[in-house]
Amino acid sequence: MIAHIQHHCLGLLLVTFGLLVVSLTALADVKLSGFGTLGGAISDQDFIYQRFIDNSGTLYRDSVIGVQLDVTHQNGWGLTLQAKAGASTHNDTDWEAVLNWAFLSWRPANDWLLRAGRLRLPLMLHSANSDVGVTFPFARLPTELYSLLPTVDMNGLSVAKTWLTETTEWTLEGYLGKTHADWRYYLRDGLEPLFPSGAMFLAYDFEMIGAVLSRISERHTWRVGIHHTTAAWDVGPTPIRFPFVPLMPGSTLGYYKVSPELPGPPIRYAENYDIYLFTLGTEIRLPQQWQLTIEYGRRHFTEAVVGADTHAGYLSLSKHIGRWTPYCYWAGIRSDNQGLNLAKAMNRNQLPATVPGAALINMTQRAGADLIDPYEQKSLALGTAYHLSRTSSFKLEWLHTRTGALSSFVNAPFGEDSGGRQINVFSLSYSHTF
Amino acid sequence: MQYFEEQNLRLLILIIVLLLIILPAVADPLIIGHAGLPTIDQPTVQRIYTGKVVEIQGIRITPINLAAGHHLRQRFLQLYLQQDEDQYAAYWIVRRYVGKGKPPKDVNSTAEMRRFIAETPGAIGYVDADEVTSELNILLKNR
Repeated sequence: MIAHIQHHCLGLLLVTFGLLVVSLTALADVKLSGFGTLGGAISDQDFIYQRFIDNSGTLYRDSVIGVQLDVTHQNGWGLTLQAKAGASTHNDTDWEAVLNWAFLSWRPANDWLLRAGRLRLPLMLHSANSDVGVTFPFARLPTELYSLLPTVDMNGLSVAKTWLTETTEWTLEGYLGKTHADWRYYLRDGLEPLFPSGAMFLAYDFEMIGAVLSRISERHTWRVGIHHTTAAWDVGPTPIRFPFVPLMPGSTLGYYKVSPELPGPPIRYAENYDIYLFTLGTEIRLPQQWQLTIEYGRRHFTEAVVGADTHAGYLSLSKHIGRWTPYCYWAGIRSDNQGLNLAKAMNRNQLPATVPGAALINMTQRAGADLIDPYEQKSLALGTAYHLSRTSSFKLEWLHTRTGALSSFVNAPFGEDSGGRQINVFSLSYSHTF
Repeated sequence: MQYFEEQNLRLLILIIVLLLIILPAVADPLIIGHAGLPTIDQPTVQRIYTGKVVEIQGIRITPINLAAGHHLRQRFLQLYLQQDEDQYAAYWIVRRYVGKGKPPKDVNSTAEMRRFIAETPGAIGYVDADEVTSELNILLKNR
């Protein structure tokens, strides 16, 4: 599979390089630009939050650097390449460079834009520019919402049609594509040999299709989207239901069968996860340079009972005061009741030590709860951006997070829960574009 | 007392006259284009310079800007786009990094702009009203 991906990427690179050469020889307009953020974050806790943040501080969470090449030809064709280096999406230790954009675009007329290649999904308001810190005031886009999918890049096609009225721009964008990405889980207790404890990255093949309608006027931006994704696990069918096995008929004492080696009825599997995403976002420019931003995302798994079946959103208020943009936001994420209740039940399900094999079964219950990927947390952020120039800014933020029953954004220490935590994160970053 | 008031008034008039003589006249920029391009209206100019309009009546267009900081560019942005330099730059930073194009090409002077427009089919730019000559194709005179 890795060889297949590498081959695919190599092919993409060769094609884009060839097109680049063609474009250059045709005297197209070439523009090189770049962006970067050096961001530090530290929390008041000794466990890790959001993959990297603890009380020893990290530069990994928010730092990123990238370059973009835009080649446009007067006939409406264009080529865009964007490469970036940042924290790996395959493990929690490495830094990696990726080609996240490589697409050909064509504007046959004012109202049509066609793109093909490696593209970014139009999920949330800032999904496309999420790596470019100067384009939004927050030190970090709210994790609760901006983690709907493990990747927002795909190989595919996008078609956008725009209607311009005197005061309003309507755009309908549809896309279709595939990608391969890792979905991160964190297990306090391992299910050896398949699932070792600690951070774990399971590889999935994603097939995506969706449509987004946006309305932009001088003071308002609205965006609504519906997206469908199938995620097929590299290893094989995906477990979607873990049956409860009572120790005696009718008893509440028992365990959830999270491993096929355990006795009990079979675990239910599906060939892939079937996921629907519904997204809604608005930016409203208010008088006196105030701005209200609200975004909501629903991630629904049609068959699987998992914690990743979530509702998430945030509401922010910011104000431009000269070079300053102070802001605050409230963000939250909560698994749908069925998935969250299952995760909670598994997490607290502990057999008494008198039951043979109780210690092993109890570990499988906690691991199962973590594999379900549950979320319940709320965050409040207060921060400000200071714009040194139109292309660079400093940002400072205090983020306070409270987890509910369980939260997969927290690497809970061995034997403890991710729920019931209070985390303060302090962030300082410098972003620049050229 | 009245003598001093008359003196002040004379001084004020003198200062105003001197300012009118010393300061360069800031005329409104006019929109010009390559030969054959039709006249356009102000909203179209705004859409061209924000990347939303790329052709007019089937003719593919290439907008040209003066370099950032040029007084005529600032006046153009203010009059035709109702934006200042920072707002315009911020707009294009976002648009570029959402993969929807790049800002118009910059040139350093109106002479260079006139030359580019004369040589490039579909090119659109602007010049100071005082620089208008008979060979220029004026697309929009008044906002």
